[in-house]
Amino acid sequence: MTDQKTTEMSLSTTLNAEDVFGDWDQLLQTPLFDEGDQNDWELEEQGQAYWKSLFNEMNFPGMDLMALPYRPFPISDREAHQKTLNRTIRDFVRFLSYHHANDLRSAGVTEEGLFYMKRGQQPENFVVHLKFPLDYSGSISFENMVFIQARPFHELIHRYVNKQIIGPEGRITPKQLYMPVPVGKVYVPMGLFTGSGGKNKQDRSVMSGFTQSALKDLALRTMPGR
Amino acid sequence: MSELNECLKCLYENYAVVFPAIEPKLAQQASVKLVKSAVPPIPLDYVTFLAATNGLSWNGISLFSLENIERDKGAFHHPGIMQNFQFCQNNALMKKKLLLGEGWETILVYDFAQKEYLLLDRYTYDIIFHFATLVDFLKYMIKPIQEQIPEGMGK
Repeated sequence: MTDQKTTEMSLSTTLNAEDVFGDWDQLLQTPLFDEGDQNDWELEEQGQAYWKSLFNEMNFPGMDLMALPYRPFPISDREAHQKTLNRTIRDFVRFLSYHHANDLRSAGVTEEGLFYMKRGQQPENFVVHLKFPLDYSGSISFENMVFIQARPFHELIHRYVNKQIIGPEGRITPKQLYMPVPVGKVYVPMGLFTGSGGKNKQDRSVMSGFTQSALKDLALRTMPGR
Repeated sequence: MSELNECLKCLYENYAVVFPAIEPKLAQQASVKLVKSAVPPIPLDYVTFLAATNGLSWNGISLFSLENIERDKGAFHHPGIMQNFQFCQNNALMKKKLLLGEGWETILVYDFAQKEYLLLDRYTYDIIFHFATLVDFLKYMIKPIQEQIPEGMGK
């Protein structure tokens, strides 16, 4: 549904972020638990269908829903583990700043933000997120990391995950965790891709008088989180 | 200079985003509202922090301001305590705890029962670190700053 909607919007001449992504503020303000929570836990038993429907409802543009099996990550020394994680994240941020600068700009990182990133710092409202949690097949590696906007997207992922791991009686350790997984190393929340045409294909690089780059720039300006 | 101010100065020099201070009275009034909502009040040293800077953002870590602060012409907001305390309500994992900050895959809470700050894993809610005071947490934050600056890049 998300892909379909995003594709439809990318073909439209006027791009409006609210139309594409929905009302994020309203979504983020919905309480973690409401009166229907008991029903939620009953529905959990239904498994994939329920979590897929919730995934579509919450709208994660450009993310895939994956079911991850529970595999506890062995941590003998918590402090050393945290240090390794922090250092890998710092190196990942530096790596992105040198090798994925254009993607970062598309995601809304400013030149000032890129300067911080070259020092290994995450700019305001951006975080490094582990695609697969460590206890669910994840590892501390660049392949398992994605640079994403803290609000709304990172917040929204955790809101979705919290519904699976926090129960009315306390913590739940599901055997399978349904997880929205962003694609790539830098999450650009745009479903916008237009080919430059080709033989027997329409050149879609120009749309109703707007070049593709102009449309992308317009969309970025109205993108939530930037 | 107090330890709190020293930590804040260090973070500020390393490009932390800080915000205009608020009157401690406002934080105390907010605490009353929190208690009425069955959530612990804002700890005193955090009130002192808010009186120095109303929240802080540095390297993916956000320490909440009292209320949401609009950033980048409304594109996003710096999270506020009063907009996030509902997370602690009716949440079995957050009993007697107040959410005060978040990192990349961690959250910072104040445990009113134990009178300490806790850094929790966002997926397992396991305790990663205990901090007796907010200054201890800030010291933990600034610890890697020197390690982060590579040779030849200056301060």
